Amino acid sequence: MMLDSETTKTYTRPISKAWWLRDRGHFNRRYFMFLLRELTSVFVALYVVLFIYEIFLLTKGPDAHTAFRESLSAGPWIAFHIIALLFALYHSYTWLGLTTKMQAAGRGLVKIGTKTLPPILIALGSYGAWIIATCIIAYLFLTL
Amino acid sequence: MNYKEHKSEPFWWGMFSQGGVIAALLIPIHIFLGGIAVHLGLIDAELMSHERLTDLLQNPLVKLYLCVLLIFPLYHAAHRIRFTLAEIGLHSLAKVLPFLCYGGALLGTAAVLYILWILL
Repeated sequence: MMLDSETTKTYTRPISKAWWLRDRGHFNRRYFMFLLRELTSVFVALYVVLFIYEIFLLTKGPDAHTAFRESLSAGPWIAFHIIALLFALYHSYTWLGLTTKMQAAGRGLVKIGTKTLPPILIALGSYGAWIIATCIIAYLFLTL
Repeated sequence: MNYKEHKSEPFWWGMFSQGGVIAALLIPIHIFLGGIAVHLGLIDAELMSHERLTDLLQNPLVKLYLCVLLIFPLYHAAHRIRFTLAEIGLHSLAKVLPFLCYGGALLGTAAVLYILWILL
């Protein structure tokens, strides 16, 4: 949070505009990965909006929807989906890894009695849930 | 800075968190199936045809699923974009960004509900 320099004498280090690229003359990988992580949400939003547009086109009849599907088969759209997938995967990896990190930090979140569960079990749980959800959706999509 | 937390703030954080989980668990497989696999011929193109999709959407459970899949991640993204834009330099817009971002998510919510439960 920014402090009001008029009323306090606290020193606030000037931050460069592109702090995520260069901080005090150096590239800071952690800052950059932080911004990439935040950027995943832009691709999630773009994909969701595209999805909403598609279900809207479903209401416009087969021709409109088929034309839309055909345009999505063009190279640039496939490239967009591949990039969006990479960002979405990075979101899943970072988001689902959070509980593991919290479990590893301090006293941990999940306990049985007074024993703290090892973080690896939390990782298995959250990434396992991801794999199971993915399989269920793929199965239903392919067979329903 | 006289920042007073608005009383709706916990709600947006909660939606951010819900949407984050749903996006993490479900979005990648959807991008892969509908955006990549079908175009590379890995799965039958008929799976994404108008006839097949409208048929699927006859099922209210599918509609309900799509509501969850599409609505919550919108709030997740709105919340992240709100803070990230401020962090990369748009501090001056910090008061407007919540309205723009959450407003967008609310509009998206209305669109999803309208399309799924009224139009379809």
